[in-house]
Amino acid sequence: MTKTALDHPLPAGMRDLLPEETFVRRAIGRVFLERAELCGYEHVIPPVFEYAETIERGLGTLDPREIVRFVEPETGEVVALRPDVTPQIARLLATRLASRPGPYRVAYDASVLRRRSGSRARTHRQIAQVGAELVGAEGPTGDLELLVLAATALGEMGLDAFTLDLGHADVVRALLVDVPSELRDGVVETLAAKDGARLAQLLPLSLSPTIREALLALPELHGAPSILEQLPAALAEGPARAAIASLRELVVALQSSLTAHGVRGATLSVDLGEVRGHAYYTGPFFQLFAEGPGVPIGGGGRYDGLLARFGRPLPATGLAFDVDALGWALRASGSTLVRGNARYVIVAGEGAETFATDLRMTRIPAIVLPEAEATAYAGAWGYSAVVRVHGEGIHVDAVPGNAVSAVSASFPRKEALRRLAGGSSA
Amino acid sequence: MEGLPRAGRDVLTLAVPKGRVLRALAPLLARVGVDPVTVLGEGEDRRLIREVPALGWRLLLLKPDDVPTWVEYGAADLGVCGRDVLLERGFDLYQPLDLGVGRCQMVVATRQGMKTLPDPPRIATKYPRCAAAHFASKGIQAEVIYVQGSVELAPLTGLADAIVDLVETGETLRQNALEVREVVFDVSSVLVANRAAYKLRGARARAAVEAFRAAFDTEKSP
Repeated sequence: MTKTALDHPLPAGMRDLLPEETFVRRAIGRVFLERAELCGYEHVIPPVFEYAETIERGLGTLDPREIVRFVEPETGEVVALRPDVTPQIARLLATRLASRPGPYRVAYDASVLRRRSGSRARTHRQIAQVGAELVGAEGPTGDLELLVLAATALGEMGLDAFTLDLGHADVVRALLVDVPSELRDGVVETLAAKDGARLAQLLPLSLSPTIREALLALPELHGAPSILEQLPAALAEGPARAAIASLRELVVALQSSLTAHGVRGATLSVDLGEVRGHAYYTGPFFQLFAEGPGVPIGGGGRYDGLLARFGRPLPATGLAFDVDALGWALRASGSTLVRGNARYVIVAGEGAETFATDLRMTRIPAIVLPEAEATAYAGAWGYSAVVRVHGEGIHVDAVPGNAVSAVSASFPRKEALRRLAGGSSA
Repeated sequence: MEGLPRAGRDVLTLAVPKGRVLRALAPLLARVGVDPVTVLGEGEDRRLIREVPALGWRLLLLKPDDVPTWVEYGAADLGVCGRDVLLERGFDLYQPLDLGVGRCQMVVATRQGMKTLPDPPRIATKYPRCAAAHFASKGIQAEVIYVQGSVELAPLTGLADAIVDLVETGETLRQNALEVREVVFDVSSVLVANRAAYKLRGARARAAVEAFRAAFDTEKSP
């Protein structure tokens, strides 16, 4: 029997990225980090694992059961493969970057690892993320800055339509204060499922009518920001009043900011009943959605409580994209970012190496191969065209179906170089 | 690569269970505006996709247990599935409406006349997570044996002391000399929604949910 892939399996949830997928992942990381850098976010690379105590101290929305831990042989200490980058950034800011003045703007491109229990095949255990944290900037200005960063980065990636869904952690938090503590988990669970009927069964009759009415309204209160103008009095004037007012202000500021930054394709929505991560977030929080993956492509929010756990109480807000989900959305939207670059196979012969060198000078990849291999190789590896050099005449043969469109034709050398370097031979 | 065009921004995809549950659901769907012939088909109609042009909907006919999977991955925007499946497998879905169709109960049943369950009990079930969680909530570490069918046989043959299973009329239990000891939870069909679809096609998805709610309300009070 011949060897098959199964003779060299990968652990469940692990996978390789082949060149085409790697290209997409790197392109997303590059565009995001460049945009972040322009806004002052410095790129940092924290380690893949560190002491479990550090990670657990800074755990945000994750369940501790999702952490993969092991004993580090050198020290006998329990370490954790990072399930999230935020605790690592918090540690960095509390220690090595503590002597520099804030606000701190850091960005990362990193994979995180999470255990998944149960029968769901849903998520890869290794999740590629790009993200940014803004620490030391309070309130609406900081929230706005990260939301605009998210939206402008998506615009630069060529995502033509996406939804920015905003919530505020204090809406539910303020209303839960009066709910008996033993019922709170159930209330949060039914709110997460937008299951109004079960929520109604759960709420005790002893609850004040205002709180009851406000909580029961939440499962329906999602959609266009205009819903914030027609809220029931129990919400508009109840304990959640302040959170709703600040959410309303953020929406207005974000709308004008996105217009000012020329971001097209962003649809704003609000969800007052959103509870995912509400125990961790301390202010506005958001998720990003786009057609394709069926899961959020990213999210984040304000978490003013986290840095204090590392001994440096500072306000903070963060953002992270799920790179695989985002790649799916970019493909679904037809973004040019996920199409491969133009690359050429030059058929070996007189002048071939020189022509390849000239292409590379203009940052266009080119390789030289013997005539017998050229066409099949170009097809299998996604090259755009096979190029034959005949003295001063260059003949281009497009590879059907490959990443960048090219037509088959002959050109004078200079003209060929100009067209191929332009990313298209058409 | 993609044989079937993925649901676009204009079509709403609804995953529905095939078979018995679908026949129970048909009157409700009819009130929403889906012709029963479209869902139930005529004669030997084996198509798994049914278009409902009048509503701009596409129905996917699935094995009942698979409905939440389709919806969670976003291959369907909305779906109809039993609460038992949701509780057993823990999907992250919106569950905006209980359709009240296919009502039954998840119960613990034993041989008739059995006085007390041994501790730890051996439990045969198609729902290992629900069974383990139910006993764990009472501080009992049950030994859960996963079986795929003929669960009622387990206490009669000594495979298990009790079963955790869905009971509609109790007739199968009676014919196999079993009785209900306790009710774990009530089950009925639930309308579920993909989170991204709810955000991206919110108006359409919510309109569909409201149509079901209206149909359900008229059914309740004819």
